[in-house]
Amino acid sequence: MVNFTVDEIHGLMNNRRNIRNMSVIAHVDHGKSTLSDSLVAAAGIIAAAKAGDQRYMDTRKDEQERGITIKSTAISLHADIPKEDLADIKEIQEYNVKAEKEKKDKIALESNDFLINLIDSPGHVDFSSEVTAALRVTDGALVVVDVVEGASVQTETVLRQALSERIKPVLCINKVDRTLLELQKTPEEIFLSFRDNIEKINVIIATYQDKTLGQDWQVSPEKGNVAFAAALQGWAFTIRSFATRYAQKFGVNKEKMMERLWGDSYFNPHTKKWTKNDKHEGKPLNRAFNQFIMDPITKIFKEVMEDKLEGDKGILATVEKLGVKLTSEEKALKQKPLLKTIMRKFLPAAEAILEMMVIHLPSPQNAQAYRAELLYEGPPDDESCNGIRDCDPTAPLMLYVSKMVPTSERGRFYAFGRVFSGTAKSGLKVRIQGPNYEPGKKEDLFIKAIQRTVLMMGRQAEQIESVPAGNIVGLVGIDQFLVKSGTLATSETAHNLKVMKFSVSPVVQRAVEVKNGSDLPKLVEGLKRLAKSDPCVLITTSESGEHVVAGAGELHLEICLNDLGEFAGIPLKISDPVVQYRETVTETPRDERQPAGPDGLHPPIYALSKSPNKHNRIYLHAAPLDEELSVAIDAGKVSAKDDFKTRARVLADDYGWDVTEARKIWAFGPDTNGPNMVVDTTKAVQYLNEIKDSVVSGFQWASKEGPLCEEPMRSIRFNIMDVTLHADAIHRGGGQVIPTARRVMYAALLMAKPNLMEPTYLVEIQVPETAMGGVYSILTRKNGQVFHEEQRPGTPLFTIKAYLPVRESFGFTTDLRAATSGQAFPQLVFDHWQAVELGNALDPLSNIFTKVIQPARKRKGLKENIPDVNEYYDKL
Amino acid sequence: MTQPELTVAPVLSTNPEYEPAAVQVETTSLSPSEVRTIYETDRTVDWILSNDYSRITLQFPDDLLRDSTLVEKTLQDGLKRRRKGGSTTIEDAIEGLKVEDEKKKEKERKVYILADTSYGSCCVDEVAAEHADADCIVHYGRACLSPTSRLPVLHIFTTLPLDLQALISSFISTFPDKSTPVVLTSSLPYSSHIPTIHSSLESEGYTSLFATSIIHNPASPIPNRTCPPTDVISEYHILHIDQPLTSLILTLSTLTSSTSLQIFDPTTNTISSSASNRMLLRRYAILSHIRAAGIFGILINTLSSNNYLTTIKQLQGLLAKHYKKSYLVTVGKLNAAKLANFAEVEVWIVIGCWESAIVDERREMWRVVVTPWEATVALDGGEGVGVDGWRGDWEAFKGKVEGYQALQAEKEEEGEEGGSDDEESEEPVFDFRTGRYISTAKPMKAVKTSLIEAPSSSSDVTGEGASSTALTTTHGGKSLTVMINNQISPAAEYLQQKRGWKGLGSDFAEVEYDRDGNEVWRGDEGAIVEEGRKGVARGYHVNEDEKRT
Repeated sequence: MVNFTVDEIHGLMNNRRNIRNMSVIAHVDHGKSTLSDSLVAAAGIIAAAKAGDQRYMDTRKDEQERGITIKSTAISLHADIPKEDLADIKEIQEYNVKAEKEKKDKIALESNDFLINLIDSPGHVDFSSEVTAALRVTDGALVVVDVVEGASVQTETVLRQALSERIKPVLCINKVDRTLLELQKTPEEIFLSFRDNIEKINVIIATYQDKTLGQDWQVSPEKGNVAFAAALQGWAFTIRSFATRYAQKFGVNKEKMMERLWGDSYFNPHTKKWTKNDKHEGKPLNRAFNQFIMDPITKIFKEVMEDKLEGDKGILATVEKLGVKLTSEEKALKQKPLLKTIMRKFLPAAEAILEMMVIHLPSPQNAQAYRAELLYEGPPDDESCNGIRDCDPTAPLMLYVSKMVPTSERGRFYAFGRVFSGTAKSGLKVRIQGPNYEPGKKEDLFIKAIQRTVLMMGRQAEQIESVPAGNIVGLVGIDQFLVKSGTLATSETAHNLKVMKFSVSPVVQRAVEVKNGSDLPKLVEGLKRLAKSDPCVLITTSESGEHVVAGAGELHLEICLNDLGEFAGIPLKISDPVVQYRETVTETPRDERQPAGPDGLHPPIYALSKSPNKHNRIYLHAAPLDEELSVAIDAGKVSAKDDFKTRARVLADDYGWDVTEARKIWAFGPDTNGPNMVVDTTKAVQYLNEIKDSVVSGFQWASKEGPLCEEPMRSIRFNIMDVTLHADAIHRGGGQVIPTARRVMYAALLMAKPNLMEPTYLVEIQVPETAMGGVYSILTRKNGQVFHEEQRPGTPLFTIKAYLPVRESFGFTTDLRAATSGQAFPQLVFDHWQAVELGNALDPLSNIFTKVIQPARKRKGLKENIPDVNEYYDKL
Repeated sequence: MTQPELTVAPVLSTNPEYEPAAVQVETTSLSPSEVRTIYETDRTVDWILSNDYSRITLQFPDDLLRDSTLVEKTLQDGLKRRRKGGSTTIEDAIEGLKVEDEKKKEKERKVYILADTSYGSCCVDEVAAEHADADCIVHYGRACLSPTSRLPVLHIFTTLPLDLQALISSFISTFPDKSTPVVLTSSLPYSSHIPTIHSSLESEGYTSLFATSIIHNPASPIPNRTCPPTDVISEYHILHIDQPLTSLILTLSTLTSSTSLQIFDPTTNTISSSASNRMLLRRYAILSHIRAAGIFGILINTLSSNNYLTTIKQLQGLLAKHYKKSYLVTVGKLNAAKLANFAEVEVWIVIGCWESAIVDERREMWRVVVTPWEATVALDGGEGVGVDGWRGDWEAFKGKVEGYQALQAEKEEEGEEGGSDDEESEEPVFDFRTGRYISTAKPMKAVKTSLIEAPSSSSDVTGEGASSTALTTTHGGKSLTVMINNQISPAAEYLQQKRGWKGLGSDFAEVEYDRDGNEVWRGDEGAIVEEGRKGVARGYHVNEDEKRT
């Protein structure tokens, strides 16, 4: 049934202007996978009749069973549009306009064959990392929104991510059939809800779009980049598809027609003129959109459902006039099956959506020109970056592996990624650069030949000899070198492509044990495979010897642990979920007895530690860091890799830092990129540079595990105030300074009102008014904080938004379902870190100590009490 | 300035906790009779006389040092008294006939006190004894009973009192079933109580008890104790009197994986079960450090054992086989500061007696410190092993090494080894601490780090390679591997790639800032070279003519 061959695709791959890489993104259950299925069906891989219920893109058993997508899946499709439409392709038009100004040659596409690399991504928030991995390798995004439920928190999350990666969105409003069949709305009501949804999406786009790009990415139906669809029935249309039909009839061109068919535009049948006025002699006019588009559709729906089939005025005759030809078998159908058949033939979904993507989404040639600077970590003018910008298949290879896809062979994976520059082919020797690779260092750098290149086709992978720039590819033989993602390059000077930043973080963890000691090697093997198979899951062994699996949420963790059971094939003991905390400080300790400085603040109280040989002293104090800045560091907006001068400028302008101090940030930590800093605020200290490495080592060590309960630190700024050092180098070596730096930081933390921070979910609950009481009682019991409540216009549904500590979230979904007899649907997405407000952490009677710190210390096999500050603080 | 009052000494300045006091003697001045009982001077005198030693060394641990002169005096007195008066037995009478000879010997019989032992005070310090040209050593306090190679040793364990009644009553409440098989063992100062405890418990009606007695064999399943036959030992619970050392807990919990390990604390007179499983897990976590590390330091922490030379050889072989770099280091008594001076070393393997094998219980060390046994298990055993047991003694280490060698040989016979391509990188090690791949776990394997073909090394050597005066060279021009004398040097690589501090002069910032934060370009000027100071740290010469400052 495949109506195109791998060879044909290979031919298309070289035609870079004829490629569209796009992902389908949306909230869970808004119909992404179903829509993708219709597209796949049109490309001829599965029988058209089954499109809509096969879920071709859900390749795993649990995905099919649960009816949700867990992994993102890629497939290549072939599309052709009428030759005369080639001129309508937006990027070609834009290019030609520019070319005319600059007096360059115009371009025109020769072929009307297009290669569409489509990635279907999961909608559940817990799997957002899969979406991130999908977005990285694509240039465009098809945002699917349920017309009834509207844009939700997840839609916003994924769209924001797409925009921050400079991925151009087009919109598809789905489930139009529901408004007609279930809600029985009038065309005008439908129009209003369409407009409302589009507005909401445009607000998100306007908020998060990269302003520096100078492109307008707002979506609107009259431009043709909004589609209206009923994926389950397999039909869809854009204003353009109707405009094409009507343009001839009215004798105007398509663009004009498209503008007329949307918004406040009316056709006055009395004057036979188009008008913006919605009244004619006091009588209301029918909106053009309703008159020319919604009315015919409503009519088909109504008459099929009312069985008005036969006769001249029957629907069968009507659709015949619309150019829909039905076989006699199809004519025997009734009700919904007939409706589906008619609509699919009248407005085939694939045609409208593929056309929209081809016309409005950028080709890699176009997209990489503006994405290159964002993608590449190195200088913007080296050969690798130029290769990316020009999407040049002859340049050195630059390939980003964004995730691993399991193969049929046990324990092996395809490295799934995108060729940004050069050509990937079998036998090519490449540099594999892991996420921690830095040019000039050996860490995370491997040399290896690509064994095979494959084309990812949903469940299957087809071998292909080579893949040029701009395409999505699967690689064999790379998987042992990358845990999840990384860069492949052939240039010796290539830097990394930027590491993906996920919107979710692994904040919930469970420890895994084997029931039977001798099974341990199998568990270890299983864990290694699990680490690869998911872009977000974090596998670690804690210092206390537990194997810890950390995931984004309960569902994510459940799926991961199921996978682990399957990979390892042995019975496992799984601990209760545990939350990761962060240790922080809440205020700078100040010495009230000293006179206040010019800023009205008393000087800070410093902590002091002496080196083991007593000859070196470090004085520093801890101060809280703006949470806003910590978030920026997490997001990579402020990072250790930045040029220190630009970073200092950003810190001074946006976060109120002193420029001089901002220039003297020694390090970020833990892991050299965490949201804590050590800052040199000393004045003229001799040999200071010599101990910098040692202090930084001590800082990395200390910030990885704080003194409260060995959790990482967050939002702490350590200011080194003074250092006294021994005059001889040997007496101020690492041995003396590293442990001292760690101890003085512990002392400073303990002196600055330490506290814990906990991850907090943003919960969005859609619930009918009748069940709202149950939602509120559960939220109150779980310490949730409601901050938003809104009724969806035209429905009895309410949307409640609240913050919920992750600590309280275990079993939340179950409790909520029970309390509302299954009517409430919560979405939990990690939102921010929040201070735990359960009292003073150092008070052994406080709630925070007895409920959080003590159990954590016990679990880790530490002494039960927090060490006293005097264990780290030395007398002068 | 508010400064918290310092109530305890800062951590790093105290004696590390792994050196617990074996004997807590409350008073500093003991009565002569107490000295005679606690330090068993009579037995010592007998031993010295019967073996006719003339130069005697007494080795004290730090906490018993204050009694050393008393003990020495008592011993001298004892020796003198024997010579003078007490000829009550026939042997003494016969000896009395040889007064002339005796007198000669008496003049030579000298007693030395050894203190400040080089490594753990549990080990017999033969080297220090040889400085005094001794022909025997009397060792006091806790001992690991590792075999000695050169000198005869008498161990005096210094007996401590024990509340027998409390022990028996808490024993009955812990093990209500009188047929429960229990092994009775204790730390050395309490070992003399074991037979008494055993008999009184049997009179209480216990039927399956096993009382240990001391043997000099650290390789025994219960180190230095007799134990039930190996096939039934796993059925026994173990009662240990006194808080055992971590290494002992780990060893014992290996035996009691299906039963329990109970500990009787003589200070509180209660029995509690130990959290040994947690400790085993903690050690297990360390194994992944070993696999992921590339640079190892082998630390010598003993001198008295006759095994350490072979162990070093075996360890070096083991590490070389796994393409790890190893450095042999000796620093005297270990502490965090000394080890952290070697910043490039990622894992320390400490060669010591089984008792002092675990040195970093409080995790004050910058890098992990492991035992040779653990290193072998981690490297040869592959991933996911080692959680089911722990041993600290040499025999176990040797056993492991040989066991793995046999396994290796078997595998090779099966012909599993496929020819690997030198041109390409090997599979990296998955580091379970961080969940990442580590590319630096095998630094001694020369791998390519560049796609550009390097000139063949033979031409390098004959050409400029031999005459190069550079201290370090990077392998093959483009490669990132650093060579010293044609040897891969991961430590040099560390200095080149990971250290920010590049030596004197590099701290002259190229750009400095004035008060307003504006840049002031300083250029890359260095300091003017001038003659500095010379000499040793305790006093320098500034000029040849001048005296020490």
